Amino acid sequence: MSRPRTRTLVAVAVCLVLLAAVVAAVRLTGGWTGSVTVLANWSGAEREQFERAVRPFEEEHRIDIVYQGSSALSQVLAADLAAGTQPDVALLPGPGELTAYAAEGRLEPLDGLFEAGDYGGVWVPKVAGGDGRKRTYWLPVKAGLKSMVWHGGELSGAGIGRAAGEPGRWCVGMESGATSGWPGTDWVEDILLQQAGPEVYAQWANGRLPWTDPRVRKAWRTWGDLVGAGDRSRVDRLLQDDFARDCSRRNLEHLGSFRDSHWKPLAGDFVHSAEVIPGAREGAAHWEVSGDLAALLNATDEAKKLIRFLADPETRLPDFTAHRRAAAPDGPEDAPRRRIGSILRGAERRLCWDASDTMPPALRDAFHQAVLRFLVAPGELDARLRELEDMSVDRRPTLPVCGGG
Amino acid sequence: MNTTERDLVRRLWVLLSLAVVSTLVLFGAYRGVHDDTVPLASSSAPGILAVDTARNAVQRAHAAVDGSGTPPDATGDFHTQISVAHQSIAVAASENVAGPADRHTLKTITGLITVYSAWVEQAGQEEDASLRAAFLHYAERGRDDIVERLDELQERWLAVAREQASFPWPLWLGWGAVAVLGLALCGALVEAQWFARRRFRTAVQPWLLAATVLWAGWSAVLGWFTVRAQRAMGDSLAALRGVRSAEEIPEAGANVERYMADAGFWASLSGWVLVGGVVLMVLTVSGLGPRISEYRFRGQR
Repeated sequence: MSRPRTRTLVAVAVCLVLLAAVVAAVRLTGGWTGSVTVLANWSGAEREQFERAVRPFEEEHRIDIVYQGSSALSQVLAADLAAGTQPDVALLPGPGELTAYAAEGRLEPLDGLFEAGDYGGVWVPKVAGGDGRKRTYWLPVKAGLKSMVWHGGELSGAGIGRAAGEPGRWCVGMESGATSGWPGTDWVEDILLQQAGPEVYAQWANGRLPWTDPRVRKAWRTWGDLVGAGDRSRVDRLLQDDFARDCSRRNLEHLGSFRDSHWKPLAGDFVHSAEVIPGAREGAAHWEVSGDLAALLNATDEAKKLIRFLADPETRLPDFTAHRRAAAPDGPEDAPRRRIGSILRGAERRLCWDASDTMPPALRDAFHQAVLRFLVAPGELDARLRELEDMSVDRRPTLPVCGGG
Repeated sequence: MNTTERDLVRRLWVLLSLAVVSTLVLFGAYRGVHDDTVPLASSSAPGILAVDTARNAVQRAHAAVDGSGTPPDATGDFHTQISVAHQSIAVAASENVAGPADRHTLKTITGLITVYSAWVEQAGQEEDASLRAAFLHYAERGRDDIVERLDELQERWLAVAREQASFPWPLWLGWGAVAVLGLALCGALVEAQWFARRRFRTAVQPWLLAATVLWAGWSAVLGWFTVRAQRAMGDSLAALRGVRSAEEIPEAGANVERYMADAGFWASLSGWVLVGGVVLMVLTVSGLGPRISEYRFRGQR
C-alpha cells in the first residue's frame, strides 16, 4: 500500500481547517450562547426602552434577554416561585415584596456584582437573607420621583393653590390592571408625609403606627376633600379612568416623574406637593420615591452579567436612575427632567420610599382596595382603617423607609 | 488496460459519482420538506389551537358574567370556562409545543387570568353599584390584555407554521437538482445497459436494470410523498388560519390531524434515502464489476 502523498495530506488538512472555521463562524455570528429570563411590570414605551437598553448587552455577550412585562407581576412571580420556575431576574416596584422573598431565602445576594456606594443608602439597604445575614439583594434599575404636582406651566403658585382646591381640576384615574387603586394610595401616603413628617411616615410604613392614628385618618380625609370623594358621578368616572389618561394643561395631576413624557409636549412643569396639600408642615421638603429593583432569583453566569450591565452608569435605562455617576439629562427642554434627576441623586434632600411599596403584598393590595372603597363611601373610613389595621398586626421586617438619598 | 475495460471503468465511476450526488441531494431535499411536517403536526398546530381555545374560553367566561346589566355573578359557566382556559394554556406551554420565551409569556397570561378571575369574583360579591361597575371594568381591561397577548402569541406561532409549510427557493433548487440528477443517472444507467448489450451480446444486464428501476421508482415515490406532505401542510395551514368559534376548534383540530396523519411515516423515510443510495451503488457495481474483472483477467493472461 502506498503512503498518502504530502499534497493529499495538505489538501485534507486545509479542508478540515476550513470546516472548523465555518463551524466556529456560524457559532459566533449566529445563535445565542445563553439566555436570561426577566420579569417586570413594564409594558408599552417602557418595555421598548428597556429592550433597546439591553440590546448592546445581547449583542456583546450573545445572551438572549427573554422579557415579560405585566401588571400582574406579583401574582406571576408568586406562582413561578411556588412552582420552582422563577425567572432569572425580576424587577419589582419597591422593596416590600423583595424583603419578604430575601428573608425566605428566595433571592441570591448581589454583593460583589456592583458597587452599592454608587447609590444612596435608601436605594440599596442591606437586608436579612434566609440565613439571617444582612446582604444586598437588589439593584435600583429605575428610579421614580413622586410628591409631584404637574401643571401646565403658566399657573403661578397662587393659581396652582386655587386650582388644587377644586376637585374638578384634578386629573385622577384609579384603573391600573391588577394594581388598580395605587394612584390613591400614593395620594394618601404623600399627604401623610407632608403633614406628619418623615418619622411618623416611616413608623406607619413599617407597621409601628396604627392605621387608626388620627394623623393617618387626617391624611385620608384631606385626600377625600381634594378629589371629591363621595361625589357619585365624579367618583364613578375616576374609578374607571386609566391612571395615565390624558390630562389637560389647565388641570393638575398628582403623579410621579414617569408622567414627564405626557407633560413635556404641553410645556408642563411640577411643584412639590407640599405646596398644595392642605395642612402640610412648614418647610416640608421630603419627596416620596419609587423604584424598580432588580433581584436575582437564579444565580446563573448570564444573569449575573446582566446585573453588572444594569449597574453600569453608561447603560441607558428607562426613565431616571439613582446612580450617582450616571449622566444627567441636558438641553433646555429638559429642565424638569434635570430637576427630577438632581432630586433623585441629591444628598441634600430627604427621600422616602413609597410606603405601599414597602408593605407586604397582602396589606398593599388591601390598601389599594381601601382607597377605592373610600372614594365611594368616605363616611366608612373608620371601618376601612380598622380592616387595614387588622391586616397589619403581624410583625414584618423593618426597612429604612426614609434616607438621605 | 484495453479500450473496453477503460470504457467500463469510466462508466462505473460516472454511475457511482452520480449515485452518490443524487442520493445526497435527494436526502437533503427530502429532509428539507419532511423535517417540518412532524413539528407542524405535533407542535405548531396543537399550540395554535390551544391558544385559540384559551382565548375563546376567556371571552366566553366574560360573557357569562357580563350579561345585559344584571349583577355579575361568578356562575358555574364562568368557572368552567376559566378552567378550560387554564387547561389550554397548560397544553400550549408543554415542552414540545412552546419554547422558553413562549412559556414565559404563557406563565404571565396564567397570572393575568388569575387577576382577571379575582376582579370578576369581587364584582360578583360587591353590593355597591359603583364599585361593582369599576371591578367589572378592571376585569374587562384584564381580559383585553389577556386576549391581546394570546393573539400575539398565536400570530407568532402562525408565522412559524407558515414557514414550516412554505416551499422556498432552496427547496425548488433542491428538487430541481433531484429531477436533473435523477434523469442523468437513469440515462447513464440505460446507456451503460446499451453499451454492455452491444459489447457482450447479452439481452439485458439484470443488475443495471434493477438499479434503473429502483432509482426511478424510489425517486417517484419520494417525490409523490413530498407533494402529498406539501399539500397536507398547505391544507393544515388553511385550517389554522382565521378566527374560529369555540365550536369550530375541535373540527379544525380533527382536520389537521387527518391531513397530517402520515407525517410521521413520511418523515421516517428520510433515512431510507441513504439506504436506497447504497443499494443503488451495490447494484451498479454488481452489474459492471464482473465485466471489468473479466477484462482484467483477460489482460493478465
